[in-house]
Amino acid sequence: MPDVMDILRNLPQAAASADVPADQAVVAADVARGHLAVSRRRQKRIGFAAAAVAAVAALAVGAGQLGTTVDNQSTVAGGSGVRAASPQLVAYTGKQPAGFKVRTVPDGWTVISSNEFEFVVAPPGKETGGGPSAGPSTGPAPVMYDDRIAVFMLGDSPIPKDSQSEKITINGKEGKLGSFPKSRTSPDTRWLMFPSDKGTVMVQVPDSTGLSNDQIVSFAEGITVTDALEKVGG
Amino acid sequence: MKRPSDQDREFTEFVTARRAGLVRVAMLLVSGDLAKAEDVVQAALTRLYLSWSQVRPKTADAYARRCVVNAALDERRSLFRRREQSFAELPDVAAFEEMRSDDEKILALLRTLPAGMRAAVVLRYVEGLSVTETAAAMRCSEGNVKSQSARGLQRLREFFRAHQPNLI
Repeated sequence: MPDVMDILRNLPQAAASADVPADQAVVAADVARGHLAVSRRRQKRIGFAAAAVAAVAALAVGAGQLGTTVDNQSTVAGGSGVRAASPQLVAYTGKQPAGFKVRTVPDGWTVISSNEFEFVVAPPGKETGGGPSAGPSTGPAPVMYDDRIAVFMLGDSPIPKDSQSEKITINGKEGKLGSFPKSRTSPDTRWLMFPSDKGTVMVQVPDSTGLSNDQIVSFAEGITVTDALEKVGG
Repeated sequence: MKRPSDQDREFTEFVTARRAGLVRVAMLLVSGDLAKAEDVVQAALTRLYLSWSQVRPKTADAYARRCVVNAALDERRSLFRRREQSFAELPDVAAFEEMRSDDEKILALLRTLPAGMRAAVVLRYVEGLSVTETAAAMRCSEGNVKSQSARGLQRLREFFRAHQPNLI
């Protein structure tokens, strides 16, 4: 009886019915879709820029009325409804992820998924698309990291050589804070890694979250790896 | 900075050479449905085009593959709004035992795996990617890839062995 692994290795030949040379008309259609996507993105950016200008104008008017200044970390009470540009970190009171302990999360965010190697924190409105909290026996589909904070054990995965990084201190130990170059993974993603008894912990934070570097460091300092976590290596 | 005409030419050359392979991977990821696979590849190539000016030639294949995997998992998640599948389904045993080739049986069994587990098995064992490459394509941790691919392989083996014809 053949082993399943051997059959899997030979499957590319079995699926060869789709393996025909690309028709030039089909490729041209792909390029046309790309052009359309670029055009739509430009229109969206123009819309965002206009909204940002309006928001800044409202901010200036609101601050003038209230006689205060607004910084990135604080909110203005009452008045014209001016909001902070980035979410604040608040004490996390939800269910702790398996293998980790989390002290703070961005306000309104929740832990939506965890397993023996990682957990994912999602903003309001982006909680769906993740599997249920799982142990080793259930094996749900992996949760995607788009617009979410992902924390996982790094194992032996190398940091991309072209990532820019700086040394930082996490709870008295040396860590690193860096960013993925845009061409490697999702656009504008920062990462932070720090040592733990179970291995190196990686925190991935897309810029879309709005968190500052200081907030990312503060979030990471509130993460503890517990004895429940399996040691990851190799 | 490349001119748009150069970018289009390079993108066209890349897609002409790689499209069939991307469709093949997509088919394996979306249960063998060629129409769905085509939708997935179109979405992936659109995403690739948007990033093309920043994609280096050495990483273009890996990035294109990651776009296909993400598009395939997004396609699967759109069905999840109606019915969440977080566990493997059991295949129709009678239909399975009537299948003639091992390839056909394994393809049928792959369809029963949860989307992420299927992606890990396809990328690791069909496409031959390393754990690191698979984790990059799926944008998850290496530990997750190891556990998903190992469990997926175990499930395939268990069912395949249990329903093989007895050889005397």
